[in-house]
Amino acid sequence: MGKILRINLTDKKVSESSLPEEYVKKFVGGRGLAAKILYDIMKPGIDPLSPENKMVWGVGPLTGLPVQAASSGWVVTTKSPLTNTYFRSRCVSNLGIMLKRAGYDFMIIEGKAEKPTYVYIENGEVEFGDASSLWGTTTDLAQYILKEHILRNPKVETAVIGPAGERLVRYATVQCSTRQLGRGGMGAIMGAKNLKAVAVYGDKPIPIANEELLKELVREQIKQLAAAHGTKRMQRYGTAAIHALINQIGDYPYKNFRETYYPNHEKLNGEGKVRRTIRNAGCPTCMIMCWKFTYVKEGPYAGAWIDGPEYETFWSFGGLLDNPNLDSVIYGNVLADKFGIDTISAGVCIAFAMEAFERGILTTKDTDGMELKWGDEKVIIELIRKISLREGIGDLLAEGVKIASEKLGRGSEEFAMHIKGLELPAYDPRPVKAHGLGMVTSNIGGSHAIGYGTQEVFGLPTRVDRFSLEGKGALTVYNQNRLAWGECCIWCTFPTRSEWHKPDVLTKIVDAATGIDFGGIEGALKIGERIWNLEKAFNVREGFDRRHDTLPARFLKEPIPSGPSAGQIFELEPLLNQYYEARGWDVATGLPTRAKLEELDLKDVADELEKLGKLPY
Amino acid sequence: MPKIVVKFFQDFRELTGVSSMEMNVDQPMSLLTLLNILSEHYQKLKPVLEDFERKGSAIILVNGRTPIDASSALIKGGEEIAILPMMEGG
Repeated sequence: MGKILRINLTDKKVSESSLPEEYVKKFVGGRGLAAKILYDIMKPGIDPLSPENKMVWGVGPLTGLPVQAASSGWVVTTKSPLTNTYFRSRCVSNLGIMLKRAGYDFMIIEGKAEKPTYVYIENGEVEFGDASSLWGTTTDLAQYILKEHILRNPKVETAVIGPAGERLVRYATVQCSTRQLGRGGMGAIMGAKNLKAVAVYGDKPIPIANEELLKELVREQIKQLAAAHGTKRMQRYGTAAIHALINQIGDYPYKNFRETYYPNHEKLNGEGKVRRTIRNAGCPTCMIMCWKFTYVKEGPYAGAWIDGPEYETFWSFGGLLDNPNLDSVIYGNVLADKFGIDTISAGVCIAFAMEAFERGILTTKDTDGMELKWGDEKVIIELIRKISLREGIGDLLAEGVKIASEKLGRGSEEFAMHIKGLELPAYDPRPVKAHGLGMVTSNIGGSHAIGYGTQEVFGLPTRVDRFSLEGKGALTVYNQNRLAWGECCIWCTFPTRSEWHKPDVLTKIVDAATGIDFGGIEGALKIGERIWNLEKAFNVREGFDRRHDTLPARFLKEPIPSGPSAGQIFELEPLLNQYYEARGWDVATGLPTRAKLEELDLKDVADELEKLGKLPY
Repeated sequence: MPKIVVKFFQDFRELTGVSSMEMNVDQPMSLLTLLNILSEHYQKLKPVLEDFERKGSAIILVNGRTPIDASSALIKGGEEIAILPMMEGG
């Protein structure tokens, strides 16, 4: 069993403990165990930006192993300053592999350092360093100086915040090489702790329980991935492959979710990205290679390069804002990564400001003279900078669209596009009922990536009518449980949810790596369900119930005006009823029941909720 | 005579050499029949359209919706058909 490293920034105390075997059997690793550890050590009601908040960094049972689409994922669980809920943010970079090689499966970071600090972990030794010289630097510079000049070891893996995290922008990111802990404000939490960076180096071997069997299973996994048609598309286009599809099904939010079909989408489709791609890359040991390094060779943004943009950023700095200029999207992505802000949340905040300006709720007096007009790429770029540095109107938008709209008032809450405070991603919930229901009931707020309705969007692994309400509660539950198990392991979400590599092979791979029989596919889904219920219980403890499983009024009142999904609204109440029934929860309150929690071996959780008066029966 | 518009996306444009085409529909036909006609017309598309449901090689949309069963989905004229490669992402 692995170890948990606990680091208190306030008093610089460091301790280690072993993972209890029963925890591993019940929660596997990754998101599952990180959720369990967080649940056990957190008190409800704390301010996410206070020293009392804790971050649990975790790897999975396949981290660093020669397995496809799983070796470099890692997660952080915490309480988010955007949502005040449980949160998990997920990243792919070698930092997870280094943490495991350093001897740890999990790392708890808590407290607050007295001054800007970095934490360096090397094979079981922990060092607290002065980060005063790094404070104020962009993420690329901070990583470079820390690795090359302070630690003098280019093999070190780093996770750093930029100026936005230091300024507590509520959706600040943590930059890890060229990837991010993107959503939920992980960077703001580090900033509030005066923690500029985490650096890790390890060179210990990672044990495998049954190496020969693992190799044999991975050979089968490779065959399956090679045969999948989608693999080739991701190799060519990356995640931007889906841009045309989402638009064609009328699910592409345009102008702050007023429309769902973007007439200019051809200018932003994956072909433009292919033309600007200079290098394909991917996670270590993964054959899919979906990362695309793009470079702008000419024009006003010449010289900009990025690992990306991913589909979401194509949309958030592009179509959402009626901006068809791909080069400016790339440049906006560069700025967001350097300053350290989430491109999804930033784009939705900018869309909110543009609609508020159009309606006269914001004027040039509020915007330092800027006309916030749809499609104005210069305004978009300037707002990314202002948000990151909390300058002028950027200070309001840095709060996230929920708090910004509450401060602004005058009806702006109606078009603040978030669920539980997390800005919505590049899917309109109205025409994809299970996918939308997944976002509404998500334990982390408006995320597409925690219960994706692949059946409705791609027709994989089975085709489902996306407008129909029938069976959508149960389908959503399945998708959420499936992903929760997947993120314990930590499988790449794309080939896993669409079953390009088959679930039976994946469960056997996890068993071979760990030497534990987790019960096959049935066992995997039960583990996923247990994790989902535990995460839900975290939120119940924080005061969340059915009333919070809702979404902006636009989706409930305004039918989609035109395009392939014209006329669709989101049928919230019947879908929620279906969902709670499928979960085995109390339909009236949306809360888990004792019977369900005990069925999932979570009696202690049921007891706690009962004491708090939050267990319906 | 009623017409349909067929749109191709991504590398299917390279296989067909066009981004879209129009077609007259004399009488209603199943989506499967239409895909067979397109396979004959664009031979390079044949391997991806043939048995696409089982192989997971393409996504076919009729007016933005995915028919659950291509053999029973009826094309009457006036529809927009989108033919996209199988993909993932987001």
